[in-house]
Amino acid sequence: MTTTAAEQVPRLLALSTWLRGQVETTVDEVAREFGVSIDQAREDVRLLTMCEVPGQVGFYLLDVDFDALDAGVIRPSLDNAPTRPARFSPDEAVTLLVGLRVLAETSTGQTAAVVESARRKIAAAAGDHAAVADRFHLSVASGSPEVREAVARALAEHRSLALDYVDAQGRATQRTVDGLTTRVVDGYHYLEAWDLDRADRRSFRMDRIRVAAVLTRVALDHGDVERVPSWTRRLEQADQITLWVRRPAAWLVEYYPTTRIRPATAEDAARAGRAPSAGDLVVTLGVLDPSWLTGLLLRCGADLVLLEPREARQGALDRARATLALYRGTDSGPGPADEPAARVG
Amino acid sequence: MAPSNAERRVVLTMLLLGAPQPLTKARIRELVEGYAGLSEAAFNQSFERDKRALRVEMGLPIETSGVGEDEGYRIRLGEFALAPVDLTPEEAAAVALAARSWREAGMAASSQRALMKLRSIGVEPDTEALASLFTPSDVADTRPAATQGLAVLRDAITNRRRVSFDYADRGARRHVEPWGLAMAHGQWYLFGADLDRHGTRKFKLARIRSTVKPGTANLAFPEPDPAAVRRLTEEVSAQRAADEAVVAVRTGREAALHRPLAEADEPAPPGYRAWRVAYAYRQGFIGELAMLGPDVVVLSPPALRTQLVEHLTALLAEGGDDDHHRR
Repeated sequence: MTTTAAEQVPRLLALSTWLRGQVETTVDEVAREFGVSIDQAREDVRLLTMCEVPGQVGFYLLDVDFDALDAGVIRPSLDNAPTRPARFSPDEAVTLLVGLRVLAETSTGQTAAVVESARRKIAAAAGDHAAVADRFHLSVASGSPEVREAVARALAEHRSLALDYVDAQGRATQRTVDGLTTRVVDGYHYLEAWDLDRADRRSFRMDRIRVAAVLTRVALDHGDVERVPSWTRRLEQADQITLWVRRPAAWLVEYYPTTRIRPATAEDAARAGRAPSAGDLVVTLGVLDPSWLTGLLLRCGADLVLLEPREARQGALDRARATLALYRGTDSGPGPADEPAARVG
Repeated sequence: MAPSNAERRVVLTMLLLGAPQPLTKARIRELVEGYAGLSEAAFNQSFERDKRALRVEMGLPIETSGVGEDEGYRIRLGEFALAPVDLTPEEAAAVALAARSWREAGMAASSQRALMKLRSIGVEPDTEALASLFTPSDVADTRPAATQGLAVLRDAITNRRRVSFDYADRGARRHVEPWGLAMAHGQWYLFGADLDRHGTRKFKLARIRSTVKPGTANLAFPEPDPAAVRRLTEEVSAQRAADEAVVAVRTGREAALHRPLAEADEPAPPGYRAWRVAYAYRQGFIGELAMLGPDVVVLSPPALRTQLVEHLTALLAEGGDDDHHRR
């Protein structure tokens, strides 16, 4: 990612002020704290050492021990940087305030009060920019306050949890888990946990946890939490399937991680046994759970055909036939159709 | 090697910062190394750009005084500096967590910078509080397309710049006055005034098919009406469930609908119970019901029942003569 002057200038100024207070730090720390690459961090420090203080020839904004810098260590030996950082720019204010609001939506009780109070103080410091933050709205799908509270308590006290969970396919299950962390991914609040029954990492959507009970059992240490949700790791090794997708079902590429997407050809439509139309796609993606695929095929009806592997369609076809048989059994055929519903895009 | 834009702008900021009196353009040209060797016209252009970047992108309070040749510029330290923010260590931990929660590149850089400014003025997050009070949380997105253009749009909304982009809806170029962003059900939406089709519209970020190009003019449109912003935000996050169906659900599978159920008196097949359920979009609801297979039977309305049967019949049909013109 290239850094633009628009990003770099405020960062350089903030960095110069922050370095004033440091006796010794490292390029790695600058990279981590400012959210840039290690190369960029080194580049930023070098650039500050080249900024001559205007009107004072030979004086620079920052001076460091260059041999140490080559080794990744920063020892500021002279600095003429501003003693105080600049007020929040609009983008800084908005991003911080919106982030605090998301945090407030996913926390409970005492924590929520702390977050709200922090948000008010940051809004006051942001002055006029705070109003702009109201034009950014995130609603995170999370659990009930009771569920969130129990999850937070179990994590804080390192205790196991008993969950009444309903998975995406609607199967109600009882799970015993050791919570690892929670995270907001793609707009949903998840509990990342070690599933004791399955002896593996699993992600649970908080809005699908019906009841969470904190157990007396002490949670075990299951090692470091990865930076990615467990399913992204499992998706990498998952079986890949290829689908022919008609436009009404194309939403799926916006909701699920995909491996490959390309426009469909007439040949693809022929393989799918469907008439081609504009906007058809061929999509390859990973599947962790065959019943998820069955559900997806049933949901999309004629707009989705499994090209590869063909046999994985069977579950959906069987369920569709079983369902139709049920309708034939419960009356003498479907009633007359009334107004077709307006399509919602 | 000529100094970069970034370097020149840092030096210019330092020069203007706390200058005892306003500095004229001529004086600035002498003092800032980055302007050396430029023609009059090139210097003017460069200086105007720099000034604009500092004022707009960074919100620096560059003060102008005097007229003509005597026109001078400076930044007062008191106006420039972040005032003390009195955060408790726990509150600082909350801010640190919020700042670190962004994974989207442009958003992450801004929030990290804000956090570092706070740390420079002595705000230190309490790491103990971080561990005990907060469940560590990331805001991540596994689908890059869903957050594309987020930071560009954020800045365009903040500075009221028009934007243009190619949109999946008939692949047309769209020109929009961006009013705000809303995320719901895992999707980001831009909303604002659609300049091509007149009226307010919502655009899904995942359907933007090009980079988002911001216009150059700031404050290019009036402040949007807060009531309209609220209404559009609510449209994104709330789907009003206006229609109702009666469905028979196999006993023990009630949770599978992921919807609130109300008891209904209708007779149901053995092993099933009748429930009332509200829904917003018929087409989407049919898909959800189809997923549940034989666990759910639609009892009424008859049209919904018919459409579900058609949906499943079309799924089983081979040869492409299924009725895909269904509306």
